[in-house]
Amino acid sequence: MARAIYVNQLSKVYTEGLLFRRKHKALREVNLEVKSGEVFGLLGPNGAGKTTLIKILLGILHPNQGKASVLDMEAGSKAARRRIGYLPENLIFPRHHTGRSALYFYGRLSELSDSQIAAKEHELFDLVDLTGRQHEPVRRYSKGMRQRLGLAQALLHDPDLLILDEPTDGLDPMGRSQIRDLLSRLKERGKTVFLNSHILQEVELICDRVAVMALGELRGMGTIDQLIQQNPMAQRGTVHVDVPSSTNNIETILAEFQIQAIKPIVNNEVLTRIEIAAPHQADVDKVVDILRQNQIGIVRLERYRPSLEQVFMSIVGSAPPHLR
Amino acid sequence: MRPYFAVLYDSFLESVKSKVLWILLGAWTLVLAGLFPLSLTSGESYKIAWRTLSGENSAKLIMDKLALASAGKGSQSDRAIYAKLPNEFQRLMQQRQAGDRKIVKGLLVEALNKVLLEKDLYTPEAWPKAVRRKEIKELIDKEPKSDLDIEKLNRKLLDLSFPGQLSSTDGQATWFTYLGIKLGQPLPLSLDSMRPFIERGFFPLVMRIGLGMIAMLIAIVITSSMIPDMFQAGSMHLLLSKPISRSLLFLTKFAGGCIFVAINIVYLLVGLYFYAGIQLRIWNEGILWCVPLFVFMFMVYYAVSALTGLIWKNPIICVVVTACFWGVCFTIGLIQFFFNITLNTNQQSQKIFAVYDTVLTVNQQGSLHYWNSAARTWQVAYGVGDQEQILGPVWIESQKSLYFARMDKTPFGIGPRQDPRMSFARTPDLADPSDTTFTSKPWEDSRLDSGPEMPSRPKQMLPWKDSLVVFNEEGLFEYDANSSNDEKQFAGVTSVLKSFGLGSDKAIAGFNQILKAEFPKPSDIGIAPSFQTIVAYRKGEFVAWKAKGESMAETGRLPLGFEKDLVAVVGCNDRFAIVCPNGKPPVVVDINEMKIVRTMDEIGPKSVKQVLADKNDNLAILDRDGDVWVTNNGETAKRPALSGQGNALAMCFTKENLLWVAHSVKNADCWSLSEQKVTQSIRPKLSVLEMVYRYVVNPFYLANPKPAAVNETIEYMLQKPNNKSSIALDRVDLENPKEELDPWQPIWSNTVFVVVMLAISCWYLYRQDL
Repeated sequence: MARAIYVNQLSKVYTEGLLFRRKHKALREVNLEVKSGEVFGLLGPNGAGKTTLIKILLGILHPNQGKASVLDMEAGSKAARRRIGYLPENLIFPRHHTGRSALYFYGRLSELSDSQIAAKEHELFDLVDLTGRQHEPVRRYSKGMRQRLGLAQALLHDPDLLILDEPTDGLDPMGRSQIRDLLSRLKERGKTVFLNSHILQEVELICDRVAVMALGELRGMGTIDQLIQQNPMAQRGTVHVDVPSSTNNIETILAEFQIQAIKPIVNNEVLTRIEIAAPHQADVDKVVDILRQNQIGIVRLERYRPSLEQVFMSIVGSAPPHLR
Repeated sequence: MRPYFAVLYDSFLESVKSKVLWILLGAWTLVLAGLFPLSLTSGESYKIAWRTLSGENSAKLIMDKLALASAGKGSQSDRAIYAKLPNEFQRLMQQRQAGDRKIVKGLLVEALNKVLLEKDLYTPEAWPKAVRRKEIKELIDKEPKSDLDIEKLNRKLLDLSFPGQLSSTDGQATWFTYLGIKLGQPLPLSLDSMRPFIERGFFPLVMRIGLGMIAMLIAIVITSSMIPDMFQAGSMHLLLSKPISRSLLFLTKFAGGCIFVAINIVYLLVGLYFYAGIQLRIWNEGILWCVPLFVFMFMVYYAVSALTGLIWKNPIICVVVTACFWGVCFTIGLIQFFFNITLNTNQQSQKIFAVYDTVLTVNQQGSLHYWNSAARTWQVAYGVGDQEQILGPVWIESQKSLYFARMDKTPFGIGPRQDPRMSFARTPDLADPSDTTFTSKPWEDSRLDSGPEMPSRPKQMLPWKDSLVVFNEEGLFEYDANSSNDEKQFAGVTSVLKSFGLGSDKAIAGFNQILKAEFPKPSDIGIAPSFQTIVAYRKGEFVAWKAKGESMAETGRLPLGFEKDLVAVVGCNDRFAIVCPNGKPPVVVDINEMKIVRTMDEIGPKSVKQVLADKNDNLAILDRDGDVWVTNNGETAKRPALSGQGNALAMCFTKENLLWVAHSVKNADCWSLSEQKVTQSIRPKLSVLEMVYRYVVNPFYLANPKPAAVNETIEYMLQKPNNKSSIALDRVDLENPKEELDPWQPIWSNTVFVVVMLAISCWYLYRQDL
């Protein structure tokens, strides 16, 4: 599969101050690859370097080191930008535009003729649910409407790669759902989507692969399952067993297993949760056998799988390699 | 290019949709609507205005006469005028006669204007010689009935009664009107004569202050936010993600700002064009040419504002930095201006004279200098104050005296003049190089001999045989150096009376009128080196006199077909005269046959400053562009390639037929026309101030951008293409320094500045992480 985005050893240092120059490393030797046709999510807390990476891909910023290519073309080149649709974070439209005139303006900037824009405008306004509002001045648009108009202009020239910086920012749940559907459809049409978002659930629902950045570093990358599997908590093979709180001598009964924790379940006084390290199925079977032999009822048993949020927090919270 | 047109169109759309544009257009509409009722109207008026009183003491002299008349003394005409004065003013005159009471000038003007309306002022007894004047006789014969005829006749009578005190008038007058109401006193000019003043005075003033400053400031403030707005984070990143070049995006946005300003300027200037055409009857295409020039001027400021906007992304900082830029340019320009005025314009030679080995110059400030070769400097012989001018000097060899007179400078010949008195510098003996009497100090007043009062409103003082002549509006007067001092004190009055044909031929004191023909108000006269021929030009007509015995006799007149208002400079030898009408090619006139021989197309349309003849039949022509042309008896003129050519300021022939040419502010060279070489050069050493100017101020000024200098190009464009010569209503106007050198120079220098600023902006944008 061809590469839509390729980033190799990319570093960016910001220099601030006129007299007393201060340097701030925004990207530290980032390596990244996004395949054509996939929906790729870039996760990270504020200041992680996500927007810096996007700006380098668009040629808005110049990297200090490393290489970046987009659709096998030099990142930032005119040819590459011609095939990218971009929705920036906190998009502001010039106040004198209506929704329609803004669409035409950005369409012309994308080298489309007026007839080409006219052929697509109705479909796009329908798609982003702005039909009937396109003649209103954008200054009267809500944040969600502006965001949807931004998405429309990003899609107008039928780009091969969509770079969306917080696309659902400011949208209501309905709007978010519409965007998700839209992205799914785009994926079906073979478009590559590079998504930058804080909202983990959304990323989990849409993205084929994700990358997690923190403090300018790429801390993890892969499918969501891969990220979870790579998480130490998942790797320990913890099994949660809920038993009645009246049960005694658990530690003695399960002495041959490593019990990680015994704790009451929140809002349920009759049950207690035992967290046991049982990496293999045979261990789980044995735990069940021992508990049953000791007349202990098993109310619930499940193998623990960390959520994306927990994985994210775990990745982001860990000390960066250069500080370890 | 589609994306860039999109940005450009977007800028236009932004302008159209912004309230600011409509507010501005509304404001310009109000300005034009306010200006539209202001108009000009011409007519005939003989009213007396303040400026009609020709001398400083004119009002006093008139009131003295009227006061005398109040006691029944004085001439009959004075008594007749007194009889028609308003009663209140009569009482004032009586009081003045009794106790020398002072009366303000305005009351006199008012009272005389009332006299102008009196129907029966004229009586043959009071003005017995009035009928000798054709114009007055005609008026008397037809028994004036209309108010205007009465006013005209009475004014002529007053002119006769108070010669020298009242400036004569031909009745032409122009008023400013607003909504048809006449504003103030009429200007003593025809509508046609007013137009050059409007085109070169009023229009440039409106352009310089109204558009060059006020509108420019508004434009800078309004457009200051355009570039910073475009580079706001939310909109800029989207723009930069599109397949367009950053530099071209910036340049297109810059052009968009210019379009916004252009819309305003087009609206305002097209409005002014129609206003001038409809109301002032001046259809001046130059106003329309000012549109691109003002947009260009704005571009200079906007280039600074745009770069500031790129760096700081803050409109307020843009305005502040642009204002500072304007302030710096203005200050440097001001410093250069004062240095230039002090060291160049005022110091540059206006006249040059050679007396044996001594070279004298009169500079633009009106100071008389002589060349001190030992000190390599022009030494002040006689320094006069600002706005004074020197008539002469003339060296009278037999008396070993240098004669000159000093008088007020009156641009365009308008305004009262103090009647000058002649001064003598009997020493030093300039013929004697060992006489160093005056080389150590200026020729102070106390060391000059006072001369007689000169003929009224003298224009030039020229050598004449063993004396000198003074030429004024009334004719040519020879100085009689042998007349007694007592007689000299009244010479001015006597000479003017005589010029009207009223004085006695024997009553000459100080000056003798040598041209007998009636030829009032000549623009210029020329005297052949042999003193056998005199020529003059007046209102499109050429006239010549030849020596006949002791006097001069008119030999003929030749209408040249020029506009009557045109000022011309003339010069002649005994065969040919060259007439140089301002802004037209000179013509050669054969004096003996009184016909035009040819037009000097090789010189082309020029403003000529001086025409001189030597005794070898050479005629030298100096134009205001600084070129000296030499022709022998009117043949094809050549431009000698000698030092100073192109920067010449004044010239004179020596007795040896060498030509001294003053040039390049204070330099001078002596040309031998026969050998085509420079025989002597004068190069004064530089003072400290001059060195500072030449090596510090001027280079800094040249390197500094000069957006305001575009005003000079604008003023140039406001002059009609066929009317690029200097304004001249009087011969003396052609002696003013010509400031206009290259009107396009500000365009080139500012274009370089704009290109550099835009290149820096593009480079900054290209390099900058946004």
